[in-house]
Amino acid sequence: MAQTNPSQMQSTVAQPAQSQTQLSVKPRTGFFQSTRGDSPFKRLLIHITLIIACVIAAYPCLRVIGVALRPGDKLLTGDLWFIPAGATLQSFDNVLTKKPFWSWIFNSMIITLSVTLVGVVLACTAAYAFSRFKFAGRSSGMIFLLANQMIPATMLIVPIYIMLARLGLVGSYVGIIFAYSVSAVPFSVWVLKGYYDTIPRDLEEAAEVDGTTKLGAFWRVIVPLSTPALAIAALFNFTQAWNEYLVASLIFNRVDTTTKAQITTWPVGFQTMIGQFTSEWGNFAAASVLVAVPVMALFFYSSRWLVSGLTLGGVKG
Amino acid sequence: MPSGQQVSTAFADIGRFILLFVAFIAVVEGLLYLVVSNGAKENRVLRLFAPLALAGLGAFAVLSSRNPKSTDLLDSGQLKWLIIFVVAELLVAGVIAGFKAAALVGIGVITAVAMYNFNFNGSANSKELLLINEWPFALVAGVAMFLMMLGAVMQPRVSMAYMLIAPSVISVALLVIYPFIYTIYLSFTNATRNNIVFGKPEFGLDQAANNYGRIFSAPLLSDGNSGFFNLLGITVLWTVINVAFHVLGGLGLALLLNREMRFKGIYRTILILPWAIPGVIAALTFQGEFNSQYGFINNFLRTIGFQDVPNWHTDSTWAFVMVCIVNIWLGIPFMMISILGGLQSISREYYEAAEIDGASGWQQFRAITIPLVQPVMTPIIVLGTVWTFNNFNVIYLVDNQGKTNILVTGLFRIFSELGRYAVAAAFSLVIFVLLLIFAIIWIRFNGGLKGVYES
Repeated sequence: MAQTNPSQMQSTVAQPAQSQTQLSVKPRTGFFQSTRGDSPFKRLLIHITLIIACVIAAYPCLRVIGVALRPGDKLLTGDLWFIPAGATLQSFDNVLTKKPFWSWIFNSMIITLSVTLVGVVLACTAAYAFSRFKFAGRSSGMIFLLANQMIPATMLIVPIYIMLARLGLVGSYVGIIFAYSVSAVPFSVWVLKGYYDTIPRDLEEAAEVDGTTKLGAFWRVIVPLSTPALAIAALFNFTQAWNEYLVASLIFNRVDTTTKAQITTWPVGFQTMIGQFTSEWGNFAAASVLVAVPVMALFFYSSRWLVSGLTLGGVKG
Repeated sequence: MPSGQQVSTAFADIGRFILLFVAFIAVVEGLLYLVVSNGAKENRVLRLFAPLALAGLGAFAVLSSRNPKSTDLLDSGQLKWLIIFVVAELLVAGVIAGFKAAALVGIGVITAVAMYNFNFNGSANSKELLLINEWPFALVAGVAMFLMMLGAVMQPRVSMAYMLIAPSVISVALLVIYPFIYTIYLSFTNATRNNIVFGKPEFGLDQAANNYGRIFSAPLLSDGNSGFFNLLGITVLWTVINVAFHVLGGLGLALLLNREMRFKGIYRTILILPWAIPGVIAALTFQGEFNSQYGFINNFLRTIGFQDVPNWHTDSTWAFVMVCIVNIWLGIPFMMISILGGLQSISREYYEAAEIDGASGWQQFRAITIPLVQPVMTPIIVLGTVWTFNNFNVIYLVDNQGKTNILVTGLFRIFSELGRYAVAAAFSLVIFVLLLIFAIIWIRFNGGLKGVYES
C-alpha cells in the first residue's frame, strides 16, 4: 500500500511527532519499483508526463464548456483557447427556452427511475437466494444469469423491436422500460451476492431467534446492512439506462403529431441536435454541460464506492 | 418544459407498467407458493400472494389483450375478459380454501386461458398480426411447471429460494432468452421491414440458406463493398488496437501514479475525467471536434505546422484512426484505475527483498509487478475485449458518415437502414457464435467459471 498504516507507524517510531518525517523517507513504490531516491530529473520527467496526460484528458472536456460560452457569431472559429472572446450564456438560454431540453430530460428521468427500481428489486431478492440457500440449480441459475451478459444489446434489438412493434408499444414508455428493465440485473445480482456473502449469517439467525421470519430477517437485517451495495446496483442500473442511445433511437423516438416536438431521451435528442453542426454546435455544447455536470458530480462522489464495490463482488465471487 | 399531455401519457404508461410488474411478481410468486409450500405455514406475507396471484393473472391477461391499434386503455374486448376473469377468480378462490389439487387445476386453466388470450390478442385478425407463435409461451409455461414440480418435492425452506430467484430468472428469460429464440426463428424466414407487421414472412430452410449464404457471399451494407469478412477484419483490428492501447496507457499511468508524490490526487481526478463524462456526450463532442475545418484537432495540427490536415469524416482510413483515437481516450481511465488498485495491493516487502538481492528495476517489474497485477488485469482485459468488440456508440456516433463499420454497427445498419430483418437476425447469430467461441476459449484457459458462483 502506498499509504502507511498509522498503527504500524506507532510501533516503529518512538514519538508520534516524528511520524511525518519518518513517512517521507520510507522507500517508495515507483516506476520500476526501485525508487529509493528518484533523481530530481526523473521526478520532473514523471510530473511532465502526467501533466501532458492530464491536458489530453481534460482539454476536450473544457473545450465543451468553451464552445457553450461562444457568442452566436463566433461559433465556428479555429480558436484553440477554451474561453472564447465575448463569452455569453446565450446558448444556455437557447437550450432551456427554445429546445425540448426539459422534455428529453423528463423522459430520460422517468424511464431511468422505473428501470432502476425494477432492476434493484429483482436483483436484491435473487442475490439473497444465491447467497444464502443451497438448492438444486443454484450454480446453473447463476451461470444462466451471467451468460446473458454475453448477448450484446445490438443483437437483441432486432427481436425486441419487432415484438414491441407487434404489441404496439414502440414509442411508449412501457416499451422502452421493458426493453431496458433486465439489462443490468445479472451484474447487480453478482455485486449484491458478493456483498451478502460478507455479511455473517449469525445476524439473521439472531433475528430469527428473536421471532422474525426468514423474509423478515432479509428485510429488517440484510437490506439495511447492504445499503452500499444496493446503492452501487442502483447506480449501475441508473447510468446504464440514463446513457443508453442505441435502443432508444429505435424504440423511443417519435414526433408528436400535434406539437411536432420530438419525444425521445436526451442522448437521441442531442444526436439530432449535432446533426445540424453549423447552426446547433453551441446549443449542443450548452446542453451537454447541463447534463454532464450533475452526472460527473455523481460519478466523482461515488467513484470510490464504485471501484470498491466492483472489486468486492469480484474478490468474493 | 415537457407538455402536459406528455406528462400525463408518461404517468399513465408508468402506471400500466407498474401494474404489469406487480401482476407478474404476484403470478410467479403465487403459483410457486401454492405448489411448493405445503400449506400456509411459512409467513403471513407469503400467504397474501395466493389471492394476489389470481388478481395479477387476471390483470395481466386483461392488459395483454389490448388491441395494438386501439388507443383506449380498456376496450370492449378487454371488458369481456375482465368479467370472465373476475368470475373465474372468485371460483378458484373458493376452491383454494378447500383442496390444493383443485386449486392447481383452476390455476392451470386460468394460465392456459391467459396464454391463449395473450397469443391471439382477443381479436380476429390478430392471428396474422401477432406472429409470435404459441410454442415459446408453451415453453415458458412448461419451464414454470417444471420448476413447480421440482419445488413440490423440495423442503419448504428451499421453496423460498425459488420464490426469491423466480422473478429475475423468469423476466430475464422473457426479455433475453425468448428474443434470442425469436432471433433464431427470424433467421429462418424472409422477414423484411415490409412484410413483418402486415404480412407473413415465409418460414423454411431455403430461407435460412438464403440468409446465411448472403452473409458470407454478398456485400452487406449500402456502400457495396462491406462483406462479412471485411467487417470481421476491421472488428478484430479495432479490438486489438484499442485493447492494446488501453492496457499500455492504463498500465503506464498507473505505474506513474503509484508512488508518493505531490498532486497525486489532482492527477488522478483529472485523468479519470474521460471515464466520468457521459459516453454519448463525449462521442458527439468528438464528432464535432474532428470537423476538418472548425474542430480543435485540425486547428491544433495546423498550429504546430501541419498544413495538409486529414479530412477525418470523409476519408475511410482517417475515419478509422479517428474512432480509434476517441475510444482509446475514453477507455484508458478505467484500465488505469483497475490496475492502480492491483498495484496498491502489492506488498512493498517483495520489492525490498528484491532490492537486497540486487535486482534491477526492470527485473523487479518483470518478476514481481507483472505476475502480481495479472490476476487483476486478466478479467478486465477480457471484459475490455468484449466491450470493445461490441462497442456500438463510439463508432456510430463519432463517425456520422458511416465510413467505419465493425460487426455490430454493420448489424444495426442492415436492420435499421436496409430493413432486412431476417438477414440481420442471421448476422447477429453469427456474431453471437464468435463471442461464444471467445468465451469458451477463455473459460478453457481459466479453469471454468467456478470463482463466479462458489462462495
